[in-house]
Amino acid sequence: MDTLRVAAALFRKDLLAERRTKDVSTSILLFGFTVAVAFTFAFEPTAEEARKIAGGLLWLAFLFSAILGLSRAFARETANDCLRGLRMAPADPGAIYLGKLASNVLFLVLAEVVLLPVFGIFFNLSLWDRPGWLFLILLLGTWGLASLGTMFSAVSANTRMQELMLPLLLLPLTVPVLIAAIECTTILLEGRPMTDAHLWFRLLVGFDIIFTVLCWLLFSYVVEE
Amino acid sequence: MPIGLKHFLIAYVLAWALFFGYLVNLALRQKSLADELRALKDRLSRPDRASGPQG
Amino acid sequence: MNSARDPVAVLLAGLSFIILVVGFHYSFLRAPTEASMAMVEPVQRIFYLHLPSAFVSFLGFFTVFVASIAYLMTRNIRWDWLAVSAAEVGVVFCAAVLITGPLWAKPVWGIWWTWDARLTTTLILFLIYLGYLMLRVYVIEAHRRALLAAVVGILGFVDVPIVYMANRWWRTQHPQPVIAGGESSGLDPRMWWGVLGVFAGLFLLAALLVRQRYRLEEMRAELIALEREARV
Repeated sequence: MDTLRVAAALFRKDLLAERRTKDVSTSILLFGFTVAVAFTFAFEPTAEEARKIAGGLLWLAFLFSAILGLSRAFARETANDCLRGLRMAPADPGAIYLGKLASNVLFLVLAEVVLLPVFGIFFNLSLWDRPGWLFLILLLGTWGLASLGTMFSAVSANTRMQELMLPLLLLPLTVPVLIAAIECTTILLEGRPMTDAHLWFRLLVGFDIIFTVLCWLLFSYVVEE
Repeated sequence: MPIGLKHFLIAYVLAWALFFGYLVNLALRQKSLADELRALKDRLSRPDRASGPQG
Repeated sequence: MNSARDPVAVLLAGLSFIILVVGFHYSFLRAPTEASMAMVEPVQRIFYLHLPSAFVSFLGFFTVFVASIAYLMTRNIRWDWLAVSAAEVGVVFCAAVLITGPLWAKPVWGIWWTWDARLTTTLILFLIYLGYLMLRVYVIEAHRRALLAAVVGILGFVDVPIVYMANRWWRTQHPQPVIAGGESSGLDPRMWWGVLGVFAGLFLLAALLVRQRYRLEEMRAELIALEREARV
């Protein structure tokens, strides 16, 4: 399908650009690390407490880093008017969205995977008992954040105060993703059976699909001339 | 002994202050816009004096 | 406001006032005082302002949703005018809900706030549409503003039921202090008349406010058009 081909091409372009400059990954990683350190000053949990709150702390750190990463990722498009170039190409704008979404998810998940051991060390967590489930939660949660995040970074790029607008729009709307991701992670860290989390997984998948489709449909309105 | 009389009064006063405050705010905004519009219309209807390439 | 020259506004204001008087009369004097926890005099009467405000606010946000879709389909700027008007009025009534809620909760249940599904969803809703309004402030050009706002207006509203469900499920895992008898408790039918009466009155008041806000957008557009003419 044409759309997928265009999306894949854009995805590849983002990967190449990132490999060269690395500004998205480095900003996410550095910021995430800083947040993790800040949390260790704020909280000094016992092992028992750590398991309970780590899910929340983890996803807060991922959220803040994601906001930073998403705006940097989109800044790459607006610099040198790349976006206009993309618009003028006879490509379905939805494809632009999908390509951007895919690269955003990739960069964010990679950064999260690197940040996880950092959290594990600081809070003495055993993260790697069920790595498959952990990775799935990361993927679904990040996909949810990025689905709206990619859309809103494009929206806020059109405003005078883009650094303010992206978190202002993103935070309230991604509350369901955060709740679900935090619950799943907490269940995982506490060693409970993952069947306890089946409702939350359904919520994550539902959210991801609904908003990816919606944003894919609506993206053309945001980038039109 | 009325429980929460203070809270009850504050709640109603605040809520209605909010509604009427907004109404008044709208009225003020409308008035200022109406004034601007009238001034602009006056300026336009008068024969052009300070013409030229300025606003 | 040139209410003297605006019969519809006068009509709305008058009707709203009358119906509100009736509605509150019923709420205060006819509706029963129950023995249940929530219904302590006189604090419980806050409920008759709190719940109808929530309905009005929600209707306002639904209007934003519909108007946003209509704008995207027709590109008629008047739909955008309706959207921003409904959003502002919705936010005002939502603020009233968030103010009256804790003021009712504190004397009755001893706490200002609890993370139950309805309160949390109302708060998130408030933040979503506050963001919607802030977005509009920072976009200069009218049609681009309308486009972006419409997209956010649609996404925001679609999210609301999801936020509600997420909070509901979260609450079953992490039981919170129960306020207002929990989500599934019903209302004494005699209380419904008070609620409906106040709702009808507040609805008319909201309609008046939306209408005046809409007029503001009309005037602003007229001003811009005239300014453009003046420059030519």
